[in-house]
Amino acid sequence: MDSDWLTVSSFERSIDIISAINTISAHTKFLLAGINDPTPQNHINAAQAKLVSFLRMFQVLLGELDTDQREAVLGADPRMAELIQRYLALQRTQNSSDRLYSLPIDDVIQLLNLDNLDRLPEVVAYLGELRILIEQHSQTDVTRMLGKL
Amino acid sequence: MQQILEKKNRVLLEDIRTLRVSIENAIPPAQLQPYRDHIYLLCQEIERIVLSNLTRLKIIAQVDLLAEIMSDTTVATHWIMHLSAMLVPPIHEPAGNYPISLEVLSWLHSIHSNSSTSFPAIMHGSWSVLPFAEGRLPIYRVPYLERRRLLFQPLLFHEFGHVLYALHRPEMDDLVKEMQENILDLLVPISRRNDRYDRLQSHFRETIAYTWYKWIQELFCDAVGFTIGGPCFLHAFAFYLSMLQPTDFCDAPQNLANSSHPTTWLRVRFLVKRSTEQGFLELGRRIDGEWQKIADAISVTEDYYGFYDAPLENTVSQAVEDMLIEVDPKHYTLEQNEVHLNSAKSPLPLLDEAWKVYEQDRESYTEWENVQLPRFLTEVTKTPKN
Repeated sequence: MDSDWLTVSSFERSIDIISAINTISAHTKFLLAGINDPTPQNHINAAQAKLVSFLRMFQVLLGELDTDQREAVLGADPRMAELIQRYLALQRTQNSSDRLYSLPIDDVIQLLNLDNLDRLPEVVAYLGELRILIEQHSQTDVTRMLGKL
Repeated sequence: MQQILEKKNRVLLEDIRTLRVSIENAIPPAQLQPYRDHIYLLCQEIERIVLSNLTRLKIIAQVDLLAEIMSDTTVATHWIMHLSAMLVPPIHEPAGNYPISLEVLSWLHSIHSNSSTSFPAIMHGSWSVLPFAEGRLPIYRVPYLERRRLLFQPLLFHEFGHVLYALHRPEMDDLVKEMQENILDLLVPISRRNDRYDRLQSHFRETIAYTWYKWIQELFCDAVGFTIGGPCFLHAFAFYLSMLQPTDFCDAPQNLANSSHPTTWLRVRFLVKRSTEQGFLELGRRIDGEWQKIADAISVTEDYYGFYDAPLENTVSQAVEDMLIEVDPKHYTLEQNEVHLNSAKSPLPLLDEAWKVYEQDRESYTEWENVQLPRFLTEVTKTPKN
């Protein structure tokens, strides 16, 4: 009776979010280029919903740490907690112009509607940085799930 | 780089199509058909991602999608490895490998409406469950030795608890968070210093609360196990987990911190309390007595080094009760046992009877099981499934 299930959950969540990021990022680039995106609209909508849901959860957990002056993230599995703590550690050390740490999450959620054409490049930049964060974070889960030769 | 990605995605396309064909050609037991169907849909989705990569590579001169294609290639690679290593093999297991476990799982999932969107599969391994797709595609692992035996099948009820947690994740995490906050409040000392020692103590309190995220889930799953299985679960649990080693009873604080499971004795204590409250006094007393005897024999004293103490009992118990209300597992009843012993509908009477026979006369148990288990499985194939 082990807790691999938390690793499973984290692994699947990470690759789901990365896939959603890629779908929206690509779609945004198609919009910027004025070219039709061959991705079915229902897939784009699903990816948007997934990303928004993830960002809202992320925002809540970040806010609680700030408010309660705690180190530990409560009510979240340890891998999600580690992602939050990694984000906060990078926020303290990274370039303040990095959109991942400077753009308020509420703004990002609004921008993901992709109706503000002037700010589409910011969406692409933000999603690129978010993708890097989650890909680096997910390496632990990938190794645990799939092993290493 | 384009050529590398093109080559990689062509290989992935071949791999996913091979997996898809293997799923089409598989003939799993009837209970695994829904699982197979969902894995097939997943393969189709991965194939779509790979085809999308190949399409995007053709127009990369017009839209720079290199970052997205590289990342999606990695996503597809991981999914295919995951499918190949974990998700597809269960549907290729011979039908006769896990006959009783399959029936127990079929019954478990069919009687709980909140798992109607969950399609179980089974493979060999240590007792555990991997609730893929947020609990919708759980793969239960059963040890080789137990796959054709009755006594420890009730341990599947605990694993089902993990699936229920996954299916109700947001609500369950909220309840756990509330418990963790209560634990933090209970651990704050009456008077506090304002120095480095206080900061260390504060960090320790948070470590305790943080550790309880995983611990409460195990206690919850134990409670699900007993709620569904009653005495046969407690018998199976107390017997199987008794390793006769000191760490069953007491472990060093550095091992407790951030550990995945509470000390086994603590789990037994909570189960005994639950069984006593539900009227199984004799059984509870006996199990508690056995564990105390073993603890005395190996000279260990109950101590959880702050990770658990009496003041936390109500908070922890209340959290488990709230979680049970949320998922509403089917309750074991004595009436069910008496009426349905010869019915193939529920395996529970057989599992109960197995422990009764085993406890009364261990010498003749194997002979009893060799007759009753095939009889049950024959009856089940005749009984129409709801």
